[in-house]
Amino acid sequence: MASPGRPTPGPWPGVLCGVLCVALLVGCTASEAPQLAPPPVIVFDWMRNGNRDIYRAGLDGKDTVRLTSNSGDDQHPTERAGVVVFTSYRDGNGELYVVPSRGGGGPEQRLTTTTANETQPTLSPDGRHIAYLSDESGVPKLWMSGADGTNPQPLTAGFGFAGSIEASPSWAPSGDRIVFVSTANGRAGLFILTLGGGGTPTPLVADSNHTAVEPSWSPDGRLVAFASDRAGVTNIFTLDVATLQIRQFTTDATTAGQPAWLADGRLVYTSWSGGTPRLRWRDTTVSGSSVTIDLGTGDAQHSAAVF
Amino acid sequence: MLRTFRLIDTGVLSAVVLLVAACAESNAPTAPKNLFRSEMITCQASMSGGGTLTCGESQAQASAGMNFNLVLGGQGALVRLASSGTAYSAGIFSTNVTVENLIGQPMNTADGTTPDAGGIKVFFSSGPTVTGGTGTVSVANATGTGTFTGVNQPYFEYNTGALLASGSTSSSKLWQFTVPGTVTQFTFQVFVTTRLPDEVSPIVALGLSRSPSALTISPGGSGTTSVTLTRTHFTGAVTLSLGGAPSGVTGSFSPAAPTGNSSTLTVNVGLAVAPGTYPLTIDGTSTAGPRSTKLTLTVATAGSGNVTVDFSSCPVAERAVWVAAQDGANPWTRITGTADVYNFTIGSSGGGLAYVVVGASDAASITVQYRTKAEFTAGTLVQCPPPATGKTINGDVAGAGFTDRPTISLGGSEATVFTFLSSTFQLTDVPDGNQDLVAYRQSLANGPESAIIRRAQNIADNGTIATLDFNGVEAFAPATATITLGGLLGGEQVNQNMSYQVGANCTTAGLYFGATGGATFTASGIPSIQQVGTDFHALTVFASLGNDSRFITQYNHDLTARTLTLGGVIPTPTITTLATPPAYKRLQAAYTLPIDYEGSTSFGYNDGANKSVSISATFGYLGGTSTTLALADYSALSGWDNNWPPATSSTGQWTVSGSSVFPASACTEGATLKSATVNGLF
Repeated sequence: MASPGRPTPGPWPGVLCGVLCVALLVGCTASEAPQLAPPPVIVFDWMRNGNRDIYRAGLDGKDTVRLTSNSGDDQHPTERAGVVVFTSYRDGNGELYVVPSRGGGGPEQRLTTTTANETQPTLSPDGRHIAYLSDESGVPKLWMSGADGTNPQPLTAGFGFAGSIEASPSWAPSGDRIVFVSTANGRAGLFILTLGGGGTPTPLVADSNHTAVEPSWSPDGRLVAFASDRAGVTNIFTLDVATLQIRQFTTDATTAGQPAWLADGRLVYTSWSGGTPRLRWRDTTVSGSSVTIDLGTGDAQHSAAVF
Repeated sequence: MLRTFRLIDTGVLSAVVLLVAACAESNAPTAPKNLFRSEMITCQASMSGGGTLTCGESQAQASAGMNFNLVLGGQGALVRLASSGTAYSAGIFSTNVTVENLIGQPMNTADGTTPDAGGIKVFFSSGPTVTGGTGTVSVANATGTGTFTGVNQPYFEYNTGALLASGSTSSSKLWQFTVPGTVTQFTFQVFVTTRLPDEVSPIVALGLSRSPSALTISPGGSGTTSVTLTRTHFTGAVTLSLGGAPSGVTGSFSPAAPTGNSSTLTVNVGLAVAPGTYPLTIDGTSTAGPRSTKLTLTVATAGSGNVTVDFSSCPVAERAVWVAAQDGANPWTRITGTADVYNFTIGSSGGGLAYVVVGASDAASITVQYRTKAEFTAGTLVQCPPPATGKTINGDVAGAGFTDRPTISLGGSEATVFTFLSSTFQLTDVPDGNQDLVAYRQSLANGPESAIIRRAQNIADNGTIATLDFNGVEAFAPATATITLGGLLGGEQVNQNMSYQVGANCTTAGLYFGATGGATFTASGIPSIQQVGTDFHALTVFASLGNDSRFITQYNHDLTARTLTLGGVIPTPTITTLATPPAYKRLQAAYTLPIDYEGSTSFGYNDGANKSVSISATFGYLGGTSTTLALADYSALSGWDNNWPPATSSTGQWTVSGSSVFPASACTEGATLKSATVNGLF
């Protein structure tokens, strides 16, 4: 028989399984070690070493690990189940890639191959799905696929109008809802989509006079943090999902946005204080000032917790 | 490094998003009042060639790299952004951008008369994002940053304190990006946000564009351009007229007042019109407001001679905008044609033909062909075959798993089935009449392969092929044969491609493509018992190593063990940059072709962005294997644009190739074609 040279489709499920297995093994080993309570770990994109790539680091700014390395920008990491999914522009347009979250030079695998831009991925809490944006229709809309990029499908068909823009999906911890940004009302606001219900997304924060963007659903499901210009300078607010009460969380003099919850309830965000974007964190339950994550020089943005 | 870049005249930037500043108070996601459809503008900037920018909508049909495409939905629908003077110098990428209001209402006003405080903001919803090279790109001179669909998004503001009337274009604003020398390409996506009057719903808009944007017509001749109207909630008539025409030049539109989305403009040039270039406009008047788009007319003297070059069957975008010829060693002469047909004279010494095809966003390709007189005058040189037309036929496969790659061919139309997505396929442009269907199941996991042949199929248009079951009774196991490859140097990557030629027209049907694993390999094909007399196997073997690649194709009725011997490696040519002026890159390649490639040779180079040059010569013209090919200096010829070739400062890739004489028919026992290529950087 001939020996065709086309590569067999990548053994992604195997890789995922392998990563999970490694993660589990490491976890078991760690549980037998002395409990040193290491700081929470985040992933983020960072303009360093001449390129924007995906990194991971402790909340104290230490133990930095570079997860990607290539020409073209890598952005918007999201982590679950031992893998980091992110958007890469190495192919000329935005495509989703995945890399093991522990680093160590693991393979970077491409998940999508389209002429559209796939951006702002967010892994579901169980790590089995990715919510992301695709501008296949002409403008960014909310899509979902399996964690390996298969079975892509639009989630908001018929919602808003043809040109309304969607952005920044964030999963509820229960995995059955997604909060996201839409301009369906003409101005960017927050909406909640219930998966599997076939219903229309419902407005969460859709104030005609102010913009609400970049939502992040808290791990306990009670709060949605978001960025808004409702108090003048864009800052971060939290919304109680049950009572719809909104509280201002940061009061920075310059823009603050891109909130991301950690498992312990702390909130990491990006601050433009001083001009260069820096990552900061604050405990939502304790009053006090924010702590800048000391990563050194470079523009760091789009943080996400490592769960 | 500076190079002027035009977008307006080629109708480049366009498409929009409009986010009105004040909206309904209701929280319900109702259809917005006074709004909008929106398409994002995706721009790809390249540092090569002194800086280029191509912008277009992000659409499913758009090609990778986001090249601007004029006809994709929404282009120029509500707003047209146009840029000019694009340049990259000293770490700054700059371009001047205007905003044209295609909406039937004024922009930046709530009541139609009072300017709104917000202006017209063009904001970056994504990027600038580096897509080539390393480093970071930032907007250097944004008006400000704001929260639109995310935080800290840069924007440029237009018409501060002023309305932008329907059909009007804003003053130009310089956009600058800080781009380190390590970045070769970046991309960004922008939307527009502005205030529109509340009381008008829905938005009415009209875009006007044309293709091509330039016509070359000889005195006494005529030419046509297609006018496209992009309507948004507007169905009224648009009365079209030709503006700026000199005496003797007339234009007629069909229809003259379209209520649809297109019209055809025929421009007639009288015999007394002096040669030259005339800036014209296509003007539209309607209740949606005045619209105008530019059209460049070049009038020149028609030619005559023993050579006819015909571009008329090409898509409009692929027709030459400039043609020149060289008779023997005489100077090059500009040739003007009529209705995209050009005539000129070539004497016994042979000569050359040069032409330029331009694309969107200043893209240009220059083609130069050197041939003998006999080759030039053998018949009309039709540059584009008639467009394929034919039937659309659907089908599906069975007996193919995820690691199988079935390929189905019928009448020259071919479909590959990706079984992990779907088992169905569609063949398009299948000629009418009996055709032999060939289906081949390639295994990507070294599993068993299978083939099906159905003879004399003539399925109705939009008909369905009965399921092709690769495990069914009509399927058969392919034949195999051991192939030995000669001429390898060691270390090369070798691949094979097997096609099958069927029917009276010797139509190609693809079977498989794969690596060989070495100099001796197994090829698969159609067993003799399944063959008819007119069937032929076409086995192509590719060998590549570094910058060199070679291939050989041999046609045989039976698949039997044989030895194929590659031709020689083309030696690295001597690449020389010829003196300037002119103000563009003129490269010369000097090399000696291996004797295996005494058919034709070519030398090409490109700037890695959107400028390319291809120079070819037949062996009959050259008269020997010693070859020197260079881009001639056309700068003194009328109509030539120094921006067509790669810029003087550009860098990019060159390629030299050679080929043996093409077989008269692929269905000839033992017919062989050899070719080779070498490339490098300049």
